[in-house]
Amino acid sequence: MKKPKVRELLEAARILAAGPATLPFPGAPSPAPPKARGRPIFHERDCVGCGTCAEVCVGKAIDMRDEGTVRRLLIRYDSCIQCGQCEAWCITGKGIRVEPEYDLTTYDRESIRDAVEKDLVLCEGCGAAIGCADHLAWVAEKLRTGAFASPTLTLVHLAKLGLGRATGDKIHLDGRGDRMRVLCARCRRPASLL
Amino acid sequence: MKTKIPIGPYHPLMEEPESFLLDVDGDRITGIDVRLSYNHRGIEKLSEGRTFEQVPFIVERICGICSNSHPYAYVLAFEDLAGIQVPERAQYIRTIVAELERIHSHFLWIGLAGHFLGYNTVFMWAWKHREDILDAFEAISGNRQNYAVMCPGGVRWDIDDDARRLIAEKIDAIEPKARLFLKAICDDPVLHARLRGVGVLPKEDAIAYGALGPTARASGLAIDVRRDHPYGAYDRVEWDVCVEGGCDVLAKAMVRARENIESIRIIRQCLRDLPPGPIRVEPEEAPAGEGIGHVEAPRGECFHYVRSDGGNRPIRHKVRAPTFMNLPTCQVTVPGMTLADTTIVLAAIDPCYCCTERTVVVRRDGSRVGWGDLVRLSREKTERLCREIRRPER
Repeated sequence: MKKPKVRELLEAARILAAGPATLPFPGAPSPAPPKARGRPIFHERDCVGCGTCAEVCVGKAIDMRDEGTVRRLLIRYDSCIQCGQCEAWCITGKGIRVEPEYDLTTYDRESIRDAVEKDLVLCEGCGAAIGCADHLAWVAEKLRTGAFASPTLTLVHLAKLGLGRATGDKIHLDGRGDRMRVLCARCRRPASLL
Repeated sequence: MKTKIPIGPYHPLMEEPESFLLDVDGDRITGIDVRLSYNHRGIEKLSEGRTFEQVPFIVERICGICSNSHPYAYVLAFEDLAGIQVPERAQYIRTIVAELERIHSHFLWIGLAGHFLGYNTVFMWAWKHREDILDAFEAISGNRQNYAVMCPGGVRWDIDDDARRLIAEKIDAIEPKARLFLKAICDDPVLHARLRGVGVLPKEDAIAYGALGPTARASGLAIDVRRDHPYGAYDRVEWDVCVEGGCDVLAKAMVRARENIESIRIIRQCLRDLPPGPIRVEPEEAPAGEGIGHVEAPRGECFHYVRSDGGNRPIRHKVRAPTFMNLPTCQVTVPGMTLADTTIVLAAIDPCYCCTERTVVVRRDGSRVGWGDLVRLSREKTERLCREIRRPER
């Protein structure tokens, strides 16, 4: 009966000397460790608008929507499980990055959103969205000379570099003369075959 | 006076919400009716809509305490399906994380058991020391919970030299604490008076009910998936299966306290032998077929089954959590106990106590008794025992 009490009293004395173990959070900030995965944030400069993050998002928190000539990527932090898959699979590696910020407490769900808007390239034949201008230019740079096999990639890339015209007026597809145009896959077929 | 005390159904004492209907005669419980399957979370269906790569993040969130066991069982099932050979280093890292999790889960249980018995100091101490383990998780993965360590074909995060040193430090710091709790359970007279012979689950009943993990090992059943079907690096390190023959709550506490020491032993050996090399192989396409994976979670065997039709998503994913098997043993352990002992007996199988505050008990005369009242009764009994045990010495 005596002994266990002595052992536990010793431990109690040790703990008393060490002081409180609890942190004053939220009274004082409690910084996250360097590897912590908090909320992901879009970086407009490095994002090419490919939509990979929306594809791999486990919680389906990233919404991709094409409206007119703009693609809008919207992340809802109330659905985000902060797994970091979006950053891990981002094709540029920097377009969406996980920040260590974890405290997103709010009364208003609408206030915990982040969005990025990217210009779309539309098909000159039918007006359908082909992809984001930045994405196509990124692919063209990756492919280097290989990109010349696709007039769409080449034209969009040149336009990005300020060397040409990316999107023009709508055209009537009437033959191979239209091959050097920005065309979607469906319109490219008649342009190549007729 | 005969009374029926309902606990639940909207009272998830465990990972799965359930209902206990206690038949009480005076202060003694004469019967218990356990009912399961009230809350359908749809985890299995959710994971069928995700790719094999995404599923670990879903199953990781089944349980908030052992958020490594479910992904571990799942990736084992997937690797069984796809025939993937996991690199050695990944096996060791998986073992380290699984054992760290066992320590933090058992410390959590010891704290909660102390809380229910009226030893709030034990609760504070255990949870304080548990923080050391959570710090180690932060160093490995960046997160305290939901570490996302497991991925099909290996592990997502490597243990670098800094993390290795930190884990070793934390293990060294927690070992004396684990021994302190083990000794306290061994020789504290009040704990013995309170727990010995309480909630007895005889060996035959443990077999009949299919009890798993510490619940079974406390009843003298020497079963442990880590030894019986080795995975990870368990067949390459030295450790013992902790078995107790007491069958009561004290034995369950002893098993958990001893397992802490064994886990520390396993982690030390894994850190020492951590081989160099890759931590992950990129899984190729999953063939059509099926795979199973089971791991020894802190509460017992956690089982996952995955079937694929050759696509990139599972077409069937079945999960069996250990509490599902352990919970029905309450049919044996609770009847015959007093109301004051119910809390600790129900807590002895280490269920998930996330929503206990919602317990409402309605007595026949219309008065309401809640979970809080049961805890208060339990604490009062400990105080009474404290007084009784001290008296002969004076």
